[in-house]
Amino acid sequence: MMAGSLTVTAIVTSRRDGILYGGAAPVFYGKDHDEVERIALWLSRITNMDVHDLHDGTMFLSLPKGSH
Amino acid sequence: MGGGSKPPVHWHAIVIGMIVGTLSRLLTLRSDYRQYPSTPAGYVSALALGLIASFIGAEFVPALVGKEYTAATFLTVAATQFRDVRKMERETLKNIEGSTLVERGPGYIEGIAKVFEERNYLAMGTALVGSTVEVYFHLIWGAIAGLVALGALVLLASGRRVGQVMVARVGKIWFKEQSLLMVDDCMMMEVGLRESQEKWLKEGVGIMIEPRNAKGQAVLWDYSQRQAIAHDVAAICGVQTDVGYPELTPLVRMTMPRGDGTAALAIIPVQRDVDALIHAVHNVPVLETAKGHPITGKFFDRQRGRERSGGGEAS
Repeated sequence: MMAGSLTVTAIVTSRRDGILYGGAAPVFYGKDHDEVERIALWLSRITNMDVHDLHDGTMFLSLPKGSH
Repeated sequence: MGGGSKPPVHWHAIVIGMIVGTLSRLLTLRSDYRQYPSTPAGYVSALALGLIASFIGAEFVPALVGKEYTAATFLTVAATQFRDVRKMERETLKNIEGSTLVERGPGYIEGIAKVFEERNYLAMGTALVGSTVEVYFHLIWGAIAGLVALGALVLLASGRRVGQVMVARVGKIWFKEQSLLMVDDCMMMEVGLRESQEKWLKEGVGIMIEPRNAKGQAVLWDYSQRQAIAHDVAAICGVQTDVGYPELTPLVRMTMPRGDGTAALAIIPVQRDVDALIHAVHNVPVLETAKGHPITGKFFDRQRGRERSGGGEAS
């Protein structure tokens, strides 16, 4: 309910070189920003999660406030 | 009650008390923008409890006068049953919270549940006043006293509205650094999807909520209070959101890091009526949880040099 308990649940990125393994969230690869945004949009509509943009070719999904 | 060599029963007192008591429950049974209760089943259960409450109130003094102490004691036991009303309402609202797009929030639920409980005591009190006056004076006076008590209790029981301590005005919706949703200088949230950003810019409305005085400053620091504002405004003006579109959900955030009690509401209403939105914000009740905040207390005078806060708020 309260802010501060957000969890990153999926990462979509076009920066293949920047991917570090060992994290808890699945990583989706898109070749450019358009594809990253398309994947993020689909994941968001399917899973009902918030999409956030880090503006470096990476977007991530998190559980919206009020859903946990 | 009564019978044998005991004093006569004050039937008139009981009847008058029950009438004014039930009337008070009927008058406080408003199906307003909160849309609750709004079904015949809801009315019936509320009215039935109101009737029982007014019977308890109406009977109390006649029972004492008739020296029926056992009966009077039993009535106090019956009165404790109304504590369950709050629990019942809380459970109901909590159960439907999961399927509400814009949640009421725990503070608002507590507030509504408390009001439901309180309205039964209100009916009881009105009935008590009406029947007491009838016992000692006359039928007409009993009825009049009951109605006066009804009016006074309703006035006393009505809480403050956000509009009394805060003033709302339109703010501009824009995006800072491409994806941070802003209303004037208040940051709301990060909206990553271009599609949703365009939706916000085209149809979103921003409302700045500014405190009128020191008490207003304290109110919005309560997270439940802000959730209540988002819920009520969405309930009145409609909101374009659904499951799968969490970034279109209306929200209220404080202007940080300024922290002067100013907040902003961002919403995509169904109908773009700014006056209705502002009116809706003003009409939200000030929650009890938001009232007793220490910054309006005498120990923490943030207002020194500007205006005195006027001491602590009893809640």
